Amino acid sequence: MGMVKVTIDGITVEVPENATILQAAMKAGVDIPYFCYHPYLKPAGLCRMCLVEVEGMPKLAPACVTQVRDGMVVRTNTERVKKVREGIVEFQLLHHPLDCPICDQAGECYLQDITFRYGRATSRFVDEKELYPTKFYGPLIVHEQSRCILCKRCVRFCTEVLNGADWNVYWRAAHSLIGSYESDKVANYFTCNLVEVCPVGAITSRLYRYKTRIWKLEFTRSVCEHCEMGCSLDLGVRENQLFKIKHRMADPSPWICDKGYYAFDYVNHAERILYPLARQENKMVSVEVEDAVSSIADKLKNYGEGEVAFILSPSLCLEDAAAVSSMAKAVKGLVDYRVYGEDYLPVKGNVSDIEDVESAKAVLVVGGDVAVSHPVLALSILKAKNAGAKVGVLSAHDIFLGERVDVFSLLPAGSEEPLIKELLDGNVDAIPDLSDEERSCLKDMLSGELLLVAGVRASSALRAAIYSRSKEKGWKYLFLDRGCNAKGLYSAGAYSEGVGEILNRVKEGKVKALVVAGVDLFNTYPNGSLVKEALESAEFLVVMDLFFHDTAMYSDFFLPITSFAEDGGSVVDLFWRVRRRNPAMQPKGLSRPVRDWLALIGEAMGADVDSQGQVAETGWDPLQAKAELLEVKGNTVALVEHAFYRSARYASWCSRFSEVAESPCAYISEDDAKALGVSDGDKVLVSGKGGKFEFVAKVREGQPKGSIVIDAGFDRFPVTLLLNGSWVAPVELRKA
Amino acid sequence: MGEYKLLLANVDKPDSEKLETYRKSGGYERLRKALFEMKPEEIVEEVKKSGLRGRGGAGFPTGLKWSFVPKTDEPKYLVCNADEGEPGTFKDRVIIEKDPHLLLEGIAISAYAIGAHEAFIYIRGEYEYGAQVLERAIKEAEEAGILGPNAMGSGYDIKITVHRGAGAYVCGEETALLNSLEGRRGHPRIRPPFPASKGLYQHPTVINNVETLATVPFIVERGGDWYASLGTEKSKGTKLFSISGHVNKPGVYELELGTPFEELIYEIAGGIREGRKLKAVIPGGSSTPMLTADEIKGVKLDYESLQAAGSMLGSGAVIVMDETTCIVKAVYRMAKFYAHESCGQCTPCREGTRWMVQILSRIVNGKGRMEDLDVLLDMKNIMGGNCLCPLGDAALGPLISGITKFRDEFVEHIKTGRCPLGG
Repeated sequence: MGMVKVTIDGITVEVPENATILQAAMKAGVDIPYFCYHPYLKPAGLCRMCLVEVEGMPKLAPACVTQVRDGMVVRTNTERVKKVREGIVEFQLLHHPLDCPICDQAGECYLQDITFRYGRATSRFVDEKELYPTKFYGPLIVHEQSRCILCKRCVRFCTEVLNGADWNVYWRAAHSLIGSYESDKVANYFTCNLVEVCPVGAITSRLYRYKTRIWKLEFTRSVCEHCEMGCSLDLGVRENQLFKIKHRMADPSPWICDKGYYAFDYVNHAERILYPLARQENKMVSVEVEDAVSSIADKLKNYGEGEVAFILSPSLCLEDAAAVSSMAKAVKGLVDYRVYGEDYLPVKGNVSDIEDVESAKAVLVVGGDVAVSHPVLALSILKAKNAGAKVGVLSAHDIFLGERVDVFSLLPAGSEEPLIKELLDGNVDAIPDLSDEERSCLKDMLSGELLLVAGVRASSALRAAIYSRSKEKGWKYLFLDRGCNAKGLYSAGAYSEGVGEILNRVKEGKVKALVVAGVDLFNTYPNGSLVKEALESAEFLVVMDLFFHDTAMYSDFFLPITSFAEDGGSVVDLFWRVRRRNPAMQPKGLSRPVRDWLALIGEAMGADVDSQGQVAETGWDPLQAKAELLEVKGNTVALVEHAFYRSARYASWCSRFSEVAESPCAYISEDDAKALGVSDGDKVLVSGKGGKFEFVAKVREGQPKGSIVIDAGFDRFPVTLLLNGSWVAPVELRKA
Repeated sequence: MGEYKLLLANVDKPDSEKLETYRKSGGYERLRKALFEMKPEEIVEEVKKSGLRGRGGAGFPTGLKWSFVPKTDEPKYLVCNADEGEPGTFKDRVIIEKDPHLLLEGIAISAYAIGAHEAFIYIRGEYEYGAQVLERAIKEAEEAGILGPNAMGSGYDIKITVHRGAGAYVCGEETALLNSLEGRRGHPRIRPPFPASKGLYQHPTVINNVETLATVPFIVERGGDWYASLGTEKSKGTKLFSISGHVNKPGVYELELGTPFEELIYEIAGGIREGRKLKAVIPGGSSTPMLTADEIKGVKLDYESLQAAGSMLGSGAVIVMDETTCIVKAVYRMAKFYAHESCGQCTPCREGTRWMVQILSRIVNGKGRMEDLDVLLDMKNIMGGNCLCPLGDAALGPLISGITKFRDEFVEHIKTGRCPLGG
């Protein structure tokens, strides 16, 4: 790329020849005001705020879209530019309600800032303002059309990044409205980006509505805890309450998902347990830290080799994991983090960066809904698609990505893995429900350069198949794990034979004492009855967590731990990079990180607990997998998946976020719906091994007959009782 | 100078829209000549030589526009802009409804000249009858083997499709038209890239007005030099004028460029209604600045003379206003049109047009203030040349010229709170 010299207000800078005047001005340190320009959206030239004078051009040029030329001389400080800026600001404010005192954007509002810097002190407007009613689009966002300056950033985000969403401009001229056409509720997994891109207070977060002023918040950089993408977050805290999350660093992506942006208010939740509790007969009572620690230490000391086990959330930080591993070593106990019943461990893929994904020529996603497990990765895959890559999604369940890509098939839940194995063996025809065009596209993908993404559901056997085939064909592969720090827990050695094995041993009485940290097993482990039996048979149970959830009901001791906002741990992201968090607030009450509790207990026991974690040099070798491909037979086979708006950590305590998913749904095929006589929105009953559950039917095009997908993650709705160790199980389906 | 029937030669014949009638007067022989005897570059050269300028309003040289199309293998498109939306303009309608085959022949020749196999006629939604006529004509021509695959046996495929707009004025702006044709919102695109390199579906596209394309067959038939011999030195050929308002014989007239303005109003169009005095004329569609009766004296109807007089030839839509016309109301009415038709994308146009209407409505209703005139005149500084497409500038045309040329009338409205003409 050639470089050219541009002079802006007398400052000469060298910029790439395809740069715009605005970019050159940024380099020169000259402030050119703008509303509609966004560094990660295509320039649109709509707001006309960035008009500048260019020598030799009779008209003023919009700096955001005008490319530089060598020797170009730009002036931004002339009287003509000043007058136009004043005019544009005046125009923008003509019908603006000027309700800054009650606007949540005030303090970080482009319109406010630009008016102060470039506007006139008074307006010549004496006519009546046209105002619009406030509109709430579901629990996440609120839209105030009156404040909108029609920069279309939100619309452009939906078209350019999401490849289409129900959000656009309606009507025309000064009466143009922004909004959704079909839905009263806008929640598309990435809704928060509408708030983030809005330069004014037109789209704001309902979570932050009328809460506090932005300048009262102190922001601390941290890392998201909802998946392995490790998105950089800025936590806004005031008086030890977490009020707002912003995503200011484009790391790893300029965009984030609703989980990262909205699922944080559990941190301030009133139900958080802030003091250690101990069981006294049928009651849990608050006890002193010293008493709790010494009692637990005394108990643990008495168990022999293999009689103590630790089950950890895959989202605990690296230091916590190291401490647990070291403690487990000290008491010769077992430890595992695979609370979703995974039989695999993190594999080091040959994709080193998110840019590798975005520059891929072809991407095939199997074995999981990427947009739920790793939402931002789905956007990177779409970015690759928009750059010309062919993208395929073959999965038993997919909501966001599939309908936006080239090849999409919903596979039968029970035979998903064998079908993908067949595809890997070269049999494209094995995949059902593909058009001829899709089939030939898929063939092309398999015969060229390919990036295979294995979702979180893919079993170790499928991972082994993908791994060996990729090695053979020279493909790239990326294996996704559950939780935000599976790679870190693996690095810390916090794994053994699997959580299922530990639970079985507890049930059989071989393991007598159990420590569960940061996880409600009833929500995560795909065998609710086994969890129940194990917890009932445990002689001694310590639960460390934020909330008194179903698992905690069985505990003998409950130790309050800190949330990610209060703790400065590190996590290892999808690409095996260590990301460090900074504590944004003081620990609430007597809560402390898992490692601190273990250090205290260790001290009381006389054991040394080390919390120094290192990232593992190598990942797990999937060729060690011993299990078979997952195949489940039955008249009706159900796949249980956490609904997106229930899949965040502590979603039950995230008010607005979890409100989006109102009731658990069952996705059923058109044939099944016909046979049962149900239509969209009717109630259906799914019964299986451990119970009977009512769902709202969603009749889905392309859903294979005899295969259903049901939502998990809802409160007091333990669908894991239907399961038997994996997320797929035979069930019975009937009309409620 | 004066009337010259070239484009309108056929329109008065019975069944003029039929293929049979058209062929009797040598129809489609020009296409045959183009396809069999001329190379595409030769046609472009002839059109360049003819000095033909775009008849839609902007007056860009047609041959030059065609020569911007890159000589690559990628698909190219020709789009005929039949979204005749400029207030006062109704010239294309005559060709569409009365001589559709002339337009089709022009499109076919032009498509061949730029190397396009597909052409679209984007016709305004209100021209429902015109769209039907065109569709029937295309069917006739295709059945006769003139259009369609292997047109006239030449081996060149020409497919013409009629697409009806949905009634937005801004879709007459070429990039908004392309968006609309692609099924998107009719919002003008930012330029560059220009349609000639990245137009319809991001491929090279030429967009020409109906009248421009309908002229092409004559240039092919008789040569660019012949066409250039008509008109004035800088404004060659003939032009359709649609004259409306307070004249005795409003209608569409074809004049050689350079015909005196007064000849059109007082002779061809039969003079001012009821013998009244002329007050103002809008010479080229509502976007062009209006001229007073004094200003049009001695002015000729061609591109350069009208520019010298401070206005534009535009689309040739002459709107005549006699002494009974309230200019404030006329300006208000036109401002309302632009405020309604602004696409709403860019700030100056969207907000400026709305504010104009709010202020003018106050003045019309007797609630004006003297400061309002300064605000209205200042719009030129904020909007003029600063909008994303020409619509903002178009809205300024009647406003600024109206206030500067008829300031007294505005002042009277403000001071007395009512219309001096009793309107």
